[in-house]
Amino acid sequence: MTEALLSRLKEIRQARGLTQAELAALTGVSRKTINTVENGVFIPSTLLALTLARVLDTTVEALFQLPGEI
Amino acid sequence: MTKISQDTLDLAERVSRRRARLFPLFGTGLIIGDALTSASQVGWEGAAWLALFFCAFMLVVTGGNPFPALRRLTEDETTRANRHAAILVGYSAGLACTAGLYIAAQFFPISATQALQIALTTAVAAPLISFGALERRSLAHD
Repeated sequence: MTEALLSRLKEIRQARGLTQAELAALTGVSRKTINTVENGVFIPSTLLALTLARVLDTTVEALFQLPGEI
Repeated sequence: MTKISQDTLDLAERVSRRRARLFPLFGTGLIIGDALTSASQVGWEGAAWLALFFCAFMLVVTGGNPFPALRRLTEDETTRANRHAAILVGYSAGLACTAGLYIAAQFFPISATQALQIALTTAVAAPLISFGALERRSLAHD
């Protein structure tokens, strides 16, 4: 099982016109967490992934993919 | 899901940044303090060292958050992951240091107090330094 996760969080966040801080405020986490998830430094929990998807009005699969899925 | 105010978010980030700077300084200070005291610390010096060790231990375990209201942000899942990784570094450093002391004790005498101080200082200073480094990396803007 791969430990890598492809993230489209930054792209989708920017498409919604949100800054990292604004998304953090809406999600209830620190900006640091949004930054590390976007940069692939940190793999989010299921809870956070679902919350991000809900806040951005998208699906978890649209936000994150396993390598080779695209 | 409650929206967090921008002020709270900013304050939490300032607290996290301060913590990322201060923890490594504290950890380094503990190591330097130990290195400068060649003899075993007894009496009030020993008590002072024990108090410092306990403070450092509590910082490692709790994250040292001074504002309970910010705990959700300053102890979110990235921070917890960083602290877990730092504690693993501390565990490894403590074991390596203890093994080193065991080898050193074969060649020259080391008192039990000295050995314990060195091993405990290493085990608590390493995660403080590591946590600071991991947090600074996480806090860096893209």
